[in-house]
Amino acid sequence: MGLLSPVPARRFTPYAASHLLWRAGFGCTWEEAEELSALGLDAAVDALVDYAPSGGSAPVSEDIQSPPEAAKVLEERLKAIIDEEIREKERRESYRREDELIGDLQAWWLQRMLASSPRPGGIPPLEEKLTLFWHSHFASGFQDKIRHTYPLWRQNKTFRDLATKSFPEQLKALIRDPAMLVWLDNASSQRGNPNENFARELMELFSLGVGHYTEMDVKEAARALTGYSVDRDDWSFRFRKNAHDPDEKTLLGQSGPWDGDAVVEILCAQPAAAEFMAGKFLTFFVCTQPEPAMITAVAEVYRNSGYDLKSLLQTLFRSELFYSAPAINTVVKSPVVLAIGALKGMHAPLPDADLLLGALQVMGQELFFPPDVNGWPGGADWINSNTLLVRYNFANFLMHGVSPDAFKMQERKMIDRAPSHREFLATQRNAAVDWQPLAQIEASGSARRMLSAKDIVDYFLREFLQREPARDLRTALVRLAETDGAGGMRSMNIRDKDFDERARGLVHLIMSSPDYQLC
Amino acid sequence: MYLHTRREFLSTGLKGVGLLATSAFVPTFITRTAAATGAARDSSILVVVQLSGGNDGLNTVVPFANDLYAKARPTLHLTGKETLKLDDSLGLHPSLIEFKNEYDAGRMAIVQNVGYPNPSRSHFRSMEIWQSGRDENDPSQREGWLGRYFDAQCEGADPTRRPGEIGMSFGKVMPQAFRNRSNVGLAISDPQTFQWNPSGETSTLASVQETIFEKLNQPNGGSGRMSPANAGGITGNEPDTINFLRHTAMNAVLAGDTIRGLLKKQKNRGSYPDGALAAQLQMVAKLIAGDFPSRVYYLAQGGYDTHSQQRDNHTRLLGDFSQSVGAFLADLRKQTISEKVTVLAFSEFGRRVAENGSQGTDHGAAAPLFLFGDNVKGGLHGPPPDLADLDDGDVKHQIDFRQVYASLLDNWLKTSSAKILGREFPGIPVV
Repeated sequence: MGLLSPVPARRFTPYAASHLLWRAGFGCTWEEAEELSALGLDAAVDALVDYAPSGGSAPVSEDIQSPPEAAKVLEERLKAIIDEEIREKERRESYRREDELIGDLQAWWLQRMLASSPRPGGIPPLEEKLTLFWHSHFASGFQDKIRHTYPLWRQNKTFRDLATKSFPEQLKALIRDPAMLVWLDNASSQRGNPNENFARELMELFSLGVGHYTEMDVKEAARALTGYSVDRDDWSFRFRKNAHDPDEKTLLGQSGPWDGDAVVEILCAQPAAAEFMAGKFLTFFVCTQPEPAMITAVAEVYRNSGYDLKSLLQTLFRSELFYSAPAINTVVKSPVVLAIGALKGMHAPLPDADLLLGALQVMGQELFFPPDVNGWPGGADWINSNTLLVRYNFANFLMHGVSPDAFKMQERKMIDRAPSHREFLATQRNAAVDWQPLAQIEASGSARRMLSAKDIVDYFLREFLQREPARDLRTALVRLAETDGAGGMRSMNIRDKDFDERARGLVHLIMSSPDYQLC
Repeated sequence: MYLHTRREFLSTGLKGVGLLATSAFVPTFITRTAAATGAARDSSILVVVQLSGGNDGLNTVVPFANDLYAKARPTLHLTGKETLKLDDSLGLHPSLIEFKNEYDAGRMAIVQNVGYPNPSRSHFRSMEIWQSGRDENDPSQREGWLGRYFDAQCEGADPTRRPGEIGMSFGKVMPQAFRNRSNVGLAISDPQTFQWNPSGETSTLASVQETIFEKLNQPNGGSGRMSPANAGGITGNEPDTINFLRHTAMNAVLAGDTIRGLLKKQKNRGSYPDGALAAQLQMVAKLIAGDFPSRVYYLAQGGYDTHSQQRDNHTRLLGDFSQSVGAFLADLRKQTISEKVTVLAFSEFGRRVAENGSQGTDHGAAAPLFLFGDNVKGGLHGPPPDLADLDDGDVKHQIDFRQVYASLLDNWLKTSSAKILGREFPGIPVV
């Protein structure tokens, strides 16, 4: 029995369905887990993986969908302003505008993640999750060189359109992606003096990994990629024929007048490519430190399918490996998964976007601002003394609207430009989320089963943790549910006036547990 | 003996904890603190101030007598008269008044032309190089130079008897310099939010919640240390992951309590200017005065990326830097604890020699760095920048920044620098 052979259908319990939704999406409501489980393993995996791509444009604002004012137009316009102070103000205004737009784009994406659902007609969870995967794998950020929202929206759309397509298709789109070409300096790469940045990362981080190419290969690939550039007037891809080096190159032992597409073909023909990507997929979807046997097995399926991610995920999400002990509840939730998953559990809409974005920034995952071209490291790197307490304080924010100043957006990393002047909303208590636990219980029809404190604890554990809780966790929570605030024993009761308040306190503690940080 | 929770810890205080140091069930912070308190009085402390964005070294330590300097900077150059002269050819930027006093008293070392081979002009990449302290392509580059120092302190030690929480950084993210395998080091953005807050409406309910929170985050055996094989990534071994999280949580909560306690109890002497850097240094002074077990404090002052309209901005930034650090050093002296502390201030790169068209300067290469303290060998180290021999318009480095690290590690933190930096670097006599 191989690691990737399918599990028996009977093992696709609601807990298993929840596991699938946390990994292939951003968590779920318990009802969604039950519904998906009822579909059966095969139909459930098909529904998740074989989704119809959304196209992903609407309803992002039109301002984001059109290219920004070209730099030279801006400069012309500024030059015409005589008063230096007004000119600088105008310049800052154009930066501030982009800061606002990127905030809008972040909120738009979070909204899509939150609205994603395996239910028919829902935004496909896997499209959003894979787009996030590619955003971290082929990482480009607003900071430093791009500084415009439009190219990052375009890139996001490309990742989404090609999310489950083949690796060569994805790489060929990548070498034409304006944001990436600017981010890694290829836009200005000229024959005779090629810039090696993109060629290096293409091999090191995007396709093969260190040790599977030489410095000479980097130089030769850089030559092949000269001329892959960007028209800065409208941020479109532009192949500059005069800048391209058409002469013979020798890349990974093969000689010819290679261009970018040929580089992609040569890279994808390397055995290391499938292994490298298998490790990435496993780390993201299955377990943080995959063993060599897992990598070999996944790489084989991926390679044999012609690098078709859709068929790989079809296999992976049905596999013994995916539902085995090393995979279940072993991955530290990324901040985005943590936040969106919690909101799903609460059946809540997106809270005040600025506060949510600020919290995500402090937790270490700001969309469109990956720390560097290597993306977010993930795993245990999400956790330090600060980020863990921030996660726990974030729970307090969701439950009680208490939002520390720390959640106010930090100045953007536009180190050498004017700071963002974004207005932050008030951070008083109850500013953001208004969660009504009792209403949620009644809507789900579970009210009549809430007889004891234990029933209530089990209900919330199921809604939020969505797995068999560790015994000490459940015991501790039951103790809380049986103790009233006046020092006596008064079990929680859904008919009591303070039920909602006590329920929020209970969920606050569920979310303030190490267990809740894992999925 | 059962003494697990924060409340019990706080009511017992540090003294009673020595007894517990052998129990694997006690949060490491408690035992580390217990182990460290005895030594804290005489241990050396390093305070790192990172000047983010690329400080213009040439307008900080100004080679005013060099004609090439004024020529390259028609609008930005400072004249000898304007500077606070160090000698006939060099002067400090006029807003570095406090630093000039430190320099004159022999407590400020200026190391000139510090950099590294093949300099990167990317903020990110250059900062990464400075913070990791390792050569390009070194697999240990993921860890930070201070993080590896923390690891070296923890190595081989009984996990329950490891040294105290040995590094503390201010800011929302842990600096890469701190990245380590032992899961030590604190990142604090605001001591007031660096705690878990119960939500109970009544104090009794709040206290029940707090007890339960502590129970949920109680390390239940294990070291909380990621084994080398899975540091930076977790295997499918859930108990390890859970323990890692529990240790991190409990250490953070306990450290937060201790820190808030010390900040309340300790006092600063003298006055500090306004601003974030000064506010953080005030906290550092209190923590040092209160024998908090951290050996390294890490702070950052941003804004040095002066591509345009540099003059006023740079004056403001350096003024803030000098006044804040000056007040900090004066505070330590008044409290007679200045002997314990050395301050290192660096930036990821200097700026180009020639100014650009926007009365600013673009990303450059080598620049001076600064050390302060009673124990530094004050004065100028290394020759002034050679503006006639530039590398693509940038000052060439003559001293590798790791030579400075090596001296600090060997002579100040008393650890083997070769182990931390991956190879031997000839130290320079700064401490």
